[in-house]
Amino acid sequence: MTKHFEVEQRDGKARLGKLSLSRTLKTPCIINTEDIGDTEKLPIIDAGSIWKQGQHVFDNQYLNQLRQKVGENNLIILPHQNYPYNVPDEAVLDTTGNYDIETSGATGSVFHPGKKTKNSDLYIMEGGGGLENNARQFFNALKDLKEKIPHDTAVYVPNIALPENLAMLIYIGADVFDYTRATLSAYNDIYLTSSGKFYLYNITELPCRCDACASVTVDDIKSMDAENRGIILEKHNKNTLDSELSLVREKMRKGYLREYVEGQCRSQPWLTALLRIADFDQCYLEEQFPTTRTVQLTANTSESLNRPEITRFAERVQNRYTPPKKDILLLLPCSARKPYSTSNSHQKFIDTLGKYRKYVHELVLTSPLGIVPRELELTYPAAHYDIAVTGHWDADEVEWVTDCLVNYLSKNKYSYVIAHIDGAYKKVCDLAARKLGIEIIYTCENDVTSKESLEVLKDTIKNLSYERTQPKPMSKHNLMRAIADYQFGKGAGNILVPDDAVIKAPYPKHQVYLNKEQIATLVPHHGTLSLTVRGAELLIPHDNYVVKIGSFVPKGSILAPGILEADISIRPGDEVLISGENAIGVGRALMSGREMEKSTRGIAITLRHVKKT
Amino acid sequence: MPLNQIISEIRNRQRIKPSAPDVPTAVWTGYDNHKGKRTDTLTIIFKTSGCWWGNQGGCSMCGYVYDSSQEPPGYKDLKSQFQKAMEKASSLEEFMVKIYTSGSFLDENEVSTDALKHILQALNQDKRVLKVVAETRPEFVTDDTIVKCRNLLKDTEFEIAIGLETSSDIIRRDSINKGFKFSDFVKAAQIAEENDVTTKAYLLLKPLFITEGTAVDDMIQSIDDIAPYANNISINLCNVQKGTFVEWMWQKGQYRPPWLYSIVDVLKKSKQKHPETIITSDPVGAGSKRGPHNCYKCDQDIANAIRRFSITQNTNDLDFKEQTCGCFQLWKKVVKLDDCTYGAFIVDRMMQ
Repeated sequence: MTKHFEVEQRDGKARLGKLSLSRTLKTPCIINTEDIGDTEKLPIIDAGSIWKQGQHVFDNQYLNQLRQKVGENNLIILPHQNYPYNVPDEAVLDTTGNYDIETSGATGSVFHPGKKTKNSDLYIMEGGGGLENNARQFFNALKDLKEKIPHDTAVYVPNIALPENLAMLIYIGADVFDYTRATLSAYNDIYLTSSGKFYLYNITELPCRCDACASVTVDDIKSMDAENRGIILEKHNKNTLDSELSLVREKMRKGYLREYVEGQCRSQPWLTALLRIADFDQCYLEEQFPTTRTVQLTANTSESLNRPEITRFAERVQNRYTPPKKDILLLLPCSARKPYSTSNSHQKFIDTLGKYRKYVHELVLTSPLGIVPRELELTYPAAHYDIAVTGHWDADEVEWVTDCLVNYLSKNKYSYVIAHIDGAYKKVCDLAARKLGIEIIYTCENDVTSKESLEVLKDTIKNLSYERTQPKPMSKHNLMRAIADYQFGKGAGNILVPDDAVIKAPYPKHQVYLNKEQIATLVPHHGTLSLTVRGAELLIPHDNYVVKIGSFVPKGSILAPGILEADISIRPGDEVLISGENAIGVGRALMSGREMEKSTRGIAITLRHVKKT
Repeated sequence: MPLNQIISEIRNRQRIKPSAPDVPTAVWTGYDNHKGKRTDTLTIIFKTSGCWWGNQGGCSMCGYVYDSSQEPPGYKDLKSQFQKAMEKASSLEEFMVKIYTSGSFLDENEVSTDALKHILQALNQDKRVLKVVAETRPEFVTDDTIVKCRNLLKDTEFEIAIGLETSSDIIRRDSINKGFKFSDFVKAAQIAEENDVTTKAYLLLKPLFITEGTAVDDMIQSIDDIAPYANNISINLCNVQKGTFVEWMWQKGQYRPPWLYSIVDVLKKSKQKHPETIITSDPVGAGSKRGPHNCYKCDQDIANAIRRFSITQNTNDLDFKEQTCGCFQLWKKVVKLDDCTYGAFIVDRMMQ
């Protein structure tokens, strides 16, 4: 159990936290390893390496004496016998350092894969820096480490941090770094920048105005002796690392780290590979990725297609969403303005369809989201993304959107599929039609908003709806049900929004009432539902997104230790249902379900409503 | 022994060139310090069936096991090897003979009693031979073997050389996989002393998994520990030999041979503490990727200084213009920082 590390804010796997020691270290942070052992400068002491002969007998007595000397609030790195990451397992099975000694107070321990982990506040990824340039191994090593240790402990990756890789390493979950590489680079005449390294003698001007660089020219530095050159380069390299760290922390506070990393990882192939490998992993990043963000999702790179939010949206449309019972599908192009229905083009489509609109089910084709059912156009990230528009889709985008459409149409059957689209969208429809062996009716020749095209669209729908029974006008119910299913899983919509529910208030601020009691409200900003206590009561038996708490009545927020059980599908930002012996309520998750169960510190849920039972 | 299996697997993958059993692995002449004087030396590396410990897997840095013969050389073969070797000394007036087998000269399974008798008798009869040094593992240093050698060599000076590598049992076991303890070395040295045989110890600077700073400290500590038993200490600088565990880690980018500044540091500090002990080092492979190196620019100058010191034992020889090469500052940082890398040892790639 950790008493010394607490996560205060998350942005996906990245965390802003603090190590509360004799001096508080705000994480992510960079330490100067030369200061280890000097508690005036750094509240960290190394108990010692077992490779160093004869210095200490590493037993409990030694450790307890050290603890007494430095106090509970300086972090002691437990005795270690270090190996590089790639050492074969047999080499470490039966070594001298295989013994257990522990101590009270703040501790750090070196994590070797396969060896028993000791209880600590900080875990050091053994040999971490040696895996630079090997994205797959690095990712697997970090993932393995993070799975074996409690969520609310800090991870230190030694001898790796450079301004170019810091953002990526933080993004995939590391908290503590050191200046070692910055110093080594400096004394080897390497000038670091966040976009890569320069050999001092190959640059003609200094691309930096930090206090080390501001008062000198590159020629001044070149003409210094090795010692002074090293000192000034070290100062610059450390400054650059520091300012990159501040930038990354600021990006995290804003929830923008993903966007930053997608660009920053271009500085080195292994960093781009690391992002892709992390995205290929189905769970690692997704588990801690928020379901809603208050900021726009900027999809500027090919990796944006694989963002956890994008793949999650597609997965939920495929598995959670149930379309209303209509047998004419209308495929529409996306629009720059969100939600789509407020855009000029969609206004025109809607006006054109007029009274025939109720016969069709509308599905919007878009990159990078794939397909967006009209009912979910408000829901994050459907109304919250922006993309570089060129009119051209690359092969990956075409394939992705086609796959989404094919999957959707394999599951949901329609008598007619109408496509009011042009350009790249048409390519997608053609590919999907060919794959499924179905016919798609195209209603526009060139411009989707041209008079002729809209005319064709109207006539086509009009002809098809002729002699059809008129569907019930339930569009508001369908909207609320779709969002409920998307948010809480299939079936939640029918529980929260039965046919006899009354939808009050104008779009998009709908409220659901049942027997004159409010159940849920649509929050337009995120396109999600927030529930009342009554809503929670109805939904708890559905058994998704439920958090079981101990026998207390929570106020304001719920801390992790108060949680008995939490649904593992809970993600930060989710609306969760709180169920306890003495209370029932709803709130917003700040951590994933697994973290809620495993953490010993930190706020897990901010409460919205609670009722004593 | 923890590492034998891993090392055996690596050894099994290594292709070995067949070689004639009646030719020594190598013979060369050189110089060494003998009683404070620069003296000619003849070094003979006999080809034998090989080190028994090496054949179990053996030491993590040792590539000499591949020098052994597939067909165990018999009495006649060794006799012929010896004869060929002595031809190389034909022009020398006075010299010291250093005998190696890539294993243990005193192991009967490598060098039979008959062959040992023939060689030592011949060396004793050759009046040009001032001193004989023979390398062996400590388990073969017994009253039996030492008395036998002493009797054969009569009044010729005799020294046994033991690859102790370090006085740290932890490093010798978990990193080097040497298969014996410091106490075994001490026992061997005592048996030798009782029979008027001196002991030379080989140490190893920077074996696998040991950081630059720890490696330096380990050598200084080791010299302190063994000075009472060995009046002659030679420090080998770990290099990356083919078909070794060290090579395996090095290829993965997780081992770097020692800096030459490190051995200079060890020699200076230890010589000052132990002025009576001969402390030498032959910087084999200095300035190459697989050998000990600094920045590749200053390596040859420093290697020459180390060789000079090894003959003269004068630390002034180590006061070369070290501050003029910029990499000296880098090495100082490496020594400090490498101790806190927690397995992410500093290798050259990280500084580029």
